[in-house]
Amino acid sequence: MIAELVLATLFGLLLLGIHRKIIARIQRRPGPPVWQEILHMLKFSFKTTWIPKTASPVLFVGVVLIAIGIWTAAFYVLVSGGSLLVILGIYLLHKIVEHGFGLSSGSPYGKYGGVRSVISAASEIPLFVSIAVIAAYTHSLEIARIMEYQEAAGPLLITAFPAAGAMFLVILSKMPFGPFSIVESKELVSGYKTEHFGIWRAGLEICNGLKTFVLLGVFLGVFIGPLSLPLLLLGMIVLVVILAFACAVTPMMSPFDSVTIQMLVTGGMLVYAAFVLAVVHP
Amino acid sequence: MADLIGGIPLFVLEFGDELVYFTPYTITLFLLALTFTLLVLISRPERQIDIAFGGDAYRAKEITVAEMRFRRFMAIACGLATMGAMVTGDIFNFTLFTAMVGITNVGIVAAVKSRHVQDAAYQYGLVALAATVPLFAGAAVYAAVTGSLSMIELMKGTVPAVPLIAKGMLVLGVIGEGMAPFYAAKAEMFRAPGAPYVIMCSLSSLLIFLRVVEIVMLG
Amino acid sequence: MRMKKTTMAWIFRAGAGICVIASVLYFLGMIPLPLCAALLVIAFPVTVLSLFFCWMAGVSGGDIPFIGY
Repeated sequence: MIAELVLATLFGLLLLGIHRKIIARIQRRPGPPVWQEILHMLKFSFKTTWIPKTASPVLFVGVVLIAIGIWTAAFYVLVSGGSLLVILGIYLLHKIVEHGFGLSSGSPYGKYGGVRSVISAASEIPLFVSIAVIAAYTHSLEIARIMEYQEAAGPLLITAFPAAGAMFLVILSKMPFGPFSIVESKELVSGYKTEHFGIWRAGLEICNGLKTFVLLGVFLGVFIGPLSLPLLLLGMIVLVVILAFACAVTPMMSPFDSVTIQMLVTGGMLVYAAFVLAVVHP
Repeated sequence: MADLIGGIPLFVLEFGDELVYFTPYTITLFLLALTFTLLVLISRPERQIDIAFGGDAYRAKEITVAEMRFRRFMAIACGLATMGAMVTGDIFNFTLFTAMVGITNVGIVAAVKSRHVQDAAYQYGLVALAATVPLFAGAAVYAAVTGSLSMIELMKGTVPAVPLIAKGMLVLGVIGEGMAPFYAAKAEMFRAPGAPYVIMCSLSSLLIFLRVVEIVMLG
Repeated sequence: MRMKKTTMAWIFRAGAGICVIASVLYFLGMIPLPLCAALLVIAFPVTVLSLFFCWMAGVSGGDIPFIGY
């Protein structure tokens, strides 16, 4: 179990490295090697570390532990084919972790990152709607049951394409260098993670690797169906390539535009969900 | 049914009408609320630094101990209300806890001496107040239609089906306590110093929303 | 609070021990998955951070330069 967890973290970091490399190649830069994010995590773990004088010490440290802990839990929910609701809850809690990172240091940059993270809470609502659509089709929210349904009835990616699109947008909003990454935008230095340096940052990198693995794994499980391990890893790489293209060709939006687009998508998804609930599966 | 909600109830505790139950899903939510409440209990607030944009000047905000003590009390009350809402098996109790979360959220930032934060708290308070109307109305329709407020009864499927309007009102009431699109005032509240306390504002709304998603799937 | 390299090494060993033992017990079918996952959720973050602190700390200065800044 622990071996799977460590391997998933490293593979998630590798995916983030591939993401960076592809963005760089699209923008005609050489880019870092694909294992750069793993090296990054190791590099930060060797750096001098302390707690800033202005910080709230317990929260400053505790939020790093919570960040790794919640995504560890999400990983096991995914592995055991547990409830999609729990994954959704953990996804929402990542927002609280972002607030914690940003606000606990007392730095104004971190604080603005935290405030932007509250504002970008609009990105979660499409997720709820797509989950409602999935429940309407499969009559279950257990990931294992959803996979069984797809084995019998074909992938939901085809039958419920708009729901897959909405979830793709949700994952896109959590990828670095994306159009919705306003919480870590460069005018705020590094946004919510500005003041978490050294080992704290290495912990955050581990959380990011695990988070990427889990989110992509959930997407593949819920919209494609059960996959063998090589196909699952291949599917994740394909998904990362698509995400990298989406990130490379779109500029980062202003906070206002980012929220507006997410709310428009939510509106569209609500109409779609109403259509599914009223016409397809009354 | 157990497929839709977070698993089968592991533990049910009945005090007459009062009812407490845990499923794997609600137990996760409860433990998270507990963790963050403990964080509020043991952590000291940060000292917030303000910078003057365009220059190198910065200053630390002065915060009195009395103010922080009051806000910590409110944050703990908020955590307790959230924990209550996570474990209760009674829809009316859930709405009461939700309303209490709204009140304590205002309390968490009400003592802050900043005009922006005070304005935001006032606006948030108005929205949360208005949202209690559909919230309690939803619970009333639940009681009127099913003759029961117990979630266990709803889960068994022995009571008549709950109309969509009641579920909609319940969800609307919870969304009004601070989810999108009514969360805009909340973002301004986050300017307030005292990170461990302010985080409870957001955490409580998210957890209550996650719980109401489970509740509307029951009946 | 002074954090020594040796203290961190002990925390790391304890955490890693819990992780490995929980995994082995689950593998042998002696504990259910939720219990194994709960143990790992608590132990894994602590293990990782204590490992980093343990290998980052020098032996000459005695304590790690974090805390007490």
